[in-house]
Amino acid sequence: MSEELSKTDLVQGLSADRVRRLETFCRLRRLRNGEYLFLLGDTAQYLSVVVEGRIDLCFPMHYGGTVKDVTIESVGSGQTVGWSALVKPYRFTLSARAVEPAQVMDFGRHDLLQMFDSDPEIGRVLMSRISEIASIRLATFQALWVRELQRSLEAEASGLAALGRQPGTGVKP
Amino acid sequence: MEATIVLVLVLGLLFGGMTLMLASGFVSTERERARQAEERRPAEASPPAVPASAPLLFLSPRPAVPEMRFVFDDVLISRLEDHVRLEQAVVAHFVDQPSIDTLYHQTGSSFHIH
Repeated sequence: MSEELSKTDLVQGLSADRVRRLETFCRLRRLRNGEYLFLLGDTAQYLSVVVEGRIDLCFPMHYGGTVKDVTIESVGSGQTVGWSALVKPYRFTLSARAVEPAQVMDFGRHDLLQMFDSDPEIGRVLMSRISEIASIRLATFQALWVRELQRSLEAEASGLAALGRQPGTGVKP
Repeated sequence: MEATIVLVLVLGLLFGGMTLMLASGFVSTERERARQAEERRPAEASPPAVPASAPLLFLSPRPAVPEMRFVFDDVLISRLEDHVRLEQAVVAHFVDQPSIDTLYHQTGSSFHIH
């Protein structure tokens, strides 16, 4: 299992000895195709590393009385999910489900925090990795949102122009 | 005499209160009627084609299509997720090399949200 953990993005930069120490706290979990790892709003107790299979990160979308989970990101072997377990308010902001039989390593928040206290180097490396993941996620969704705003603006402007109105004021020129 | 004054005051308060309640009930009923009438108003006509004057980053002129019933099924979900994947790919490039060009790079996605 150490070999599998050492290949993941979470522990890059950690010595083999520290990876082995980290591994003593992990719990291996198997997921069936379609099984949820966690749901949006759940308390985030575990940071998970995907060892096998793929996990889709989803948001619920509503239309006409129907609610469906729509995949907005896919995470594969070696990647980390559930970093909300180490960041307040410790709640998951989206759902995660296996899209094929999968295997993850779960690291409990309390175990990790105790390890960070006893070995700050592990804490430094893991939090640095989590900062990178969170930073990329932030920049990605910021850009996605701005692109949708641009589309909304153009749709609004074209609609108003067709009605003979100035965009932004709703007043005829 | 004083009892008469008190009685008149009490009756006046009662009558005034009842009148106020009737008036407020009338106003709220009228507002509800106006709101229901607003809801029953037919939807405005669908937006016509985009004028050629303003440069647009995403919107492109398309012919008017007949009104279709929007069914939120797996086919639509699949199209939505394809759109998200295309968008993610473009945005991944932006995150790696931020610029206005990479931010507004077109995906060619046929999924129109607006």
